[in-house]
Amino acid sequence: MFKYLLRKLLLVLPLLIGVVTLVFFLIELSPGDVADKFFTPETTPEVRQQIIAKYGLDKPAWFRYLLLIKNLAVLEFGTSIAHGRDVTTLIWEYLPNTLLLSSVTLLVIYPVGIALGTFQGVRQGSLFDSTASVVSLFFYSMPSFWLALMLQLYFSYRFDLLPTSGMHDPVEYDYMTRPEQIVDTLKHIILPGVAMGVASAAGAARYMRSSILEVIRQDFVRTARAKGLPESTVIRKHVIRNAMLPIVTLLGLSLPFLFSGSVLIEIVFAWPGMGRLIVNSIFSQDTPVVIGCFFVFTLMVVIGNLIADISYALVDPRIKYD
Amino acid sequence: MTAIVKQQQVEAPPVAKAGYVLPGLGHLLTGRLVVGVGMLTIDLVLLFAAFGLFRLPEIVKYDTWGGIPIHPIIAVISFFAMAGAQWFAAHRLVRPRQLTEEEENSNWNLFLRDFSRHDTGMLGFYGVVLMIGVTLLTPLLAPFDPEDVGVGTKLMHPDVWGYLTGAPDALPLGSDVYGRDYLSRLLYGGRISMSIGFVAVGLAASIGTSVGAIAGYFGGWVDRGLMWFVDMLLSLPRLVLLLAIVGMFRVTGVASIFLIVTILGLTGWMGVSRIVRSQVLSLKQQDFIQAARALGYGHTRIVFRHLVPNALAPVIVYCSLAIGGTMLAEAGLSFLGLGVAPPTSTWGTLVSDGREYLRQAGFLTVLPGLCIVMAVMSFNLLGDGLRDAMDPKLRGTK
Amino acid sequence: MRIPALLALLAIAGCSGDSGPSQDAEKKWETRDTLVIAVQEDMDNLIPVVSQSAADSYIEGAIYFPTIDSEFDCSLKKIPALATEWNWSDDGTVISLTLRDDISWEDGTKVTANDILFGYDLVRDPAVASPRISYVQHAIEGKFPLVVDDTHLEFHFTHAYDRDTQAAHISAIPALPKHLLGEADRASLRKHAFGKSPMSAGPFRLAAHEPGQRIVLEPNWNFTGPEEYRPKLNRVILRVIPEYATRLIELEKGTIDLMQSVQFEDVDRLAKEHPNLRLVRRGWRSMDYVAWNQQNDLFKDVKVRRALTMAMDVDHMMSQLLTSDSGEVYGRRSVGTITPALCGVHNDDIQPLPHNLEQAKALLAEAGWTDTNGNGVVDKDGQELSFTLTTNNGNPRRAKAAVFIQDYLKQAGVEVKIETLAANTFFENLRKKDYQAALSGWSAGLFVDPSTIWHSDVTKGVDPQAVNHETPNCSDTVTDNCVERRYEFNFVSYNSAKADELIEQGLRTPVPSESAPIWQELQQVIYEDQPYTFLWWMDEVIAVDSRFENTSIDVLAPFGNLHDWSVPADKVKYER
Repeated sequence: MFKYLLRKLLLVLPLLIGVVTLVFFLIELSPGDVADKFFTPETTPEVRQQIIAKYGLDKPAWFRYLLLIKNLAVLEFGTSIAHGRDVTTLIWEYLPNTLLLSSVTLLVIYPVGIALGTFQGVRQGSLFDSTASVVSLFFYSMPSFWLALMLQLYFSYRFDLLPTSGMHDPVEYDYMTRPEQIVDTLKHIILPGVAMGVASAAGAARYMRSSILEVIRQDFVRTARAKGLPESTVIRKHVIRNAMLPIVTLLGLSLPFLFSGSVLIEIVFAWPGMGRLIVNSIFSQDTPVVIGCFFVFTLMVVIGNLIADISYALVDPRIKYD
Repeated sequence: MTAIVKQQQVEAPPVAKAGYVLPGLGHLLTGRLVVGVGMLTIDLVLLFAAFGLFRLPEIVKYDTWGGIPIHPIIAVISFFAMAGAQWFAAHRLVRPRQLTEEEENSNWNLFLRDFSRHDTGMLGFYGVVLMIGVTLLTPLLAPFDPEDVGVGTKLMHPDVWGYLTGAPDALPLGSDVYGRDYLSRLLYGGRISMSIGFVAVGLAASIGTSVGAIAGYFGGWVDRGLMWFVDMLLSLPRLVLLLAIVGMFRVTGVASIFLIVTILGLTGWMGVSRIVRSQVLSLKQQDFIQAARALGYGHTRIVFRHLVPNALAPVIVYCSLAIGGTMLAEAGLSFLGLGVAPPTSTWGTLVSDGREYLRQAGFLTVLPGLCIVMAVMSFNLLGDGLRDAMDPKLRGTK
Repeated sequence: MRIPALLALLAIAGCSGDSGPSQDAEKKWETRDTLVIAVQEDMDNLIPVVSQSAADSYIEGAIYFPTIDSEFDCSLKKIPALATEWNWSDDGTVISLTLRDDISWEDGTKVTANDILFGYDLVRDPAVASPRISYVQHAIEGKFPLVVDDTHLEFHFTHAYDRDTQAAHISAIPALPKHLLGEADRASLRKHAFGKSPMSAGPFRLAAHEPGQRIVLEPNWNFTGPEEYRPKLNRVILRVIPEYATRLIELEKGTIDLMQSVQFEDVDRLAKEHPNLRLVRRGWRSMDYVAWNQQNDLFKDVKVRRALTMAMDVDHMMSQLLTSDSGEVYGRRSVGTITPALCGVHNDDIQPLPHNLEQAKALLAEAGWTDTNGNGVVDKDGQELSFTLTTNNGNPRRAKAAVFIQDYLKQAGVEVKIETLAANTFFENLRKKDYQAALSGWSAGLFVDPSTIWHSDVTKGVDPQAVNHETPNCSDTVTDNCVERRYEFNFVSYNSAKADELIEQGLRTPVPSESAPIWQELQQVIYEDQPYTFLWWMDEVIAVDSRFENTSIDVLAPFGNLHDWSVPADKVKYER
């Protein structure tokens, strides 16, 4: 187990370097001078040179690349060009908010999807199954930002049930007690969480359903039934437990999907997260922040996958790693 | 098996002949609801397109491509082809093709049989046919030039009834803020959206198949290297990657369509390569490949003539599902203002432009959104149906 | 196991604000209610020397005490603030200021002339690389300012120029606390903690900043300045909401009190459905035009340019683009680059060229452009009158206008292809004159300086950026109020000896009343030449809750002078 983990961890490193290299060369290839945004026609050539030197843009690309790798080795992302601040600080300001939104989505919406998929799989071919299939496919096929706009328009404006945007009440939050604050934040999470998570939940339901169907046809299920175990026990003890295994991997794999969704959802709901940070940085060609964000995103995904792998190994006794 | 053979030899009931009058009616009356409704919907589309035929001289004025009215020509050909196909389908219901025992049990026919009984799959199939049909017939269906700012006044609300009864100031789906007819915009937007989906997925499938086949066939370091690259790309959020590329390069004008298609293709092939690789890995061991090797065929020939065609079925399923995903990705890009450059629009850019008027004219956002949902859902239903019908393990479970 | 982890995360995310409002602070005067403002982008840095975003300049206006305050009424009016008196030397090259002695920073240190000097030192220091460096371009080294004593200082200029502009240059950078920042490393000034938690000398202080989300201002209870500058509100909260649709829904729900740039399409409905909202116009801050590149043979002939203008139905475009449902037009025809807000200077006598398709065609024919091959496009010597109209993306109004223009010119037999470029590429191309025709815009300078746009020798220009001291120097947004100011140039290669002469004469005339007739003549000269097709000046509509009184929403700022804003006791909405 330990050796397996070590080998996995060793693979993470080249992956991260690969991502950073890819993003770096994409930026290098793109037209436009990053430093342009500082220059007005009145900027004297000397000041221009100073700014360029300040951000190391006068060095050749290979040099900057090596410097970048060297800095990343000590988790040093450099200084944001647009904000003039350390990229690490900047990311720390936004990352917790994105993590909060995605983890609430994962932990609340996924179980719902998995439960739905389980019921569908167990009652394969029933009216419930086909209705649920079509309904979940409907949500699966929906652009998340469009759903977000619709939720906002109806649940926040027309029916006035939930707050429209932001992470908490802008005026009263400062004067709330801690429990009230948590409730307030949760209220603000519901709409973006639903908009972001519905597609993933529908995906989880689809996946779980086919996983159940796969398991239900296997010999050991037949054996269990033949032993005369009640159907409910068979389903609970044998089918669901085994069908859950691949879902663990799905959790890891759906992280990039969630992060993609967060970009759009955070804009619509004015959620101060990584998605908005990276979009703004891309638009202002703020290279250090873009690379930093990609690095963090990849790290998150890798960690997610690692956790999924480990939990897979822990729950599935058949898998032996060495 | 015997029961099935019998069923196909049964003569169709006389009501099936209703299909000659109106293709689809026969299916509906003989109890094949999904096919019936699907075909009738296509009839309706063809009916509207028929009106468009009379407007052809007007249409060729605005829908040209470098001076040649290529789209209207395609539309007219498609119109007659589709009408023909409709009546042919109606005819097949009345006189089913007699199959020999051998044909009966061929994989293709087993697949067809399974698929035609897959209700949601068929629903998806007709959805996709409808979408493709509408895409091809767009010039005939759209009542106005989608770029003409003088059709209505700004932000007219939809009034289907008023339009059909000839009310003076009514447009079926209203107008956008320039006063352009929104139905026409939706149709023409759909044409670009669908094309982007198809071309990008085609590109992705070609790249993915090549990479997957090469990785699977050669194995070893090639395999490990390529799969490492695939893993790397898969661990990046696709939309963010797309955004970074499109945002950094900022190409606009007509070139933006090509850029978006290319980049959607370049970021969408990883799934295909994984599928093809695993297929190739299992096929590689089979006798016919060993034989081909023994005969001294070159690598290229073995990979592309023998391995790839045999690994194609799951790729087709994947592509059907991927078209939906690609259309969603394109919509997401458009939402961030990085979509196809105006005045060309896609459903994604229509949602994106419409959201400024969310409170004032909600239909500008709702309608293209629904179009996206319908199209993506059709492709997903079709993909699911194809997968189920192709899976030998599921065969006969229904 | 999940739930506690989640709660922990909630708690972390919940306390991201570094410093909460000082609830224990004792109120020293009466304040009521909270103002919630929606802004599009977050604040960045509150050191005025290096700040960039629009939110930065709003907040700086509230937390620093201005050297000279201003209000706008046909021209910029100077109001005493930190400086109680200002006097020009006879030759107009020296301004001497007398400062109040009762203003102090929050920590009790007095604000002195040295703090003003310190601000300008920073701007001038190349290590800081300040984007405001142009404010000191006409300064005499070491005498800008020259500190006489704690309350007296002098600004020395290399030469005299427009006095309003000079006054703007000396009050653009407020006094900065030398005792806190004096030792700071200048090369990394943008990283200094002061930029995120500044010390106030003005009516408000920054109470909290939650990045990407919320900025809270509260009264500076240690404020020692004049009583009329004391805030009347409990708090001012700026919420960062990037989406227009989201801002609008928040406005309609009543969860924000002020929103900028309300679309004209929404104005009438808001007025009808939400009687609690006051919809205020801010007039004529920006204009749109079509630039004809006169290096291109197509546009060298003035007849062609006039014909193109006459072919466009500008009034109809305005009725489609700048009009609310009830037909109210939020803009006016433009006849030049000087805003009508400068009432004395703007030439009201110029009659815009009328829309007349026949006359336009006749003019084209006169210039030799006729449709000889019957394909609907006029031609001359085998060349068709067909060109690309370029505009920037991200501006729906211009995208719409481009479509209209394409349509109008088609009727006159002119073929227009529309090209939309990313904003940075677009302005780059304008600057390099690498375009045929361009649909672009200017923000109004509140001082007159046509030199950089119209003088044939751009090196003689005075920096127009400096004359927009009250508007932010936004460098990373593409909203129409921002980008235009970055690359001032004579894009169209306009070259008129008469105009050059008038510009030079006008710039040498420091007294506004004397220069006004010169500028009026210049506008007439330029309009005759039609180097641009001037389209329109636009209004901005701001929606604000009507419970607020003494709101200063004017040409200068969408919410200036926050210390004046108040709510009557019977209309209070938020207790805190």
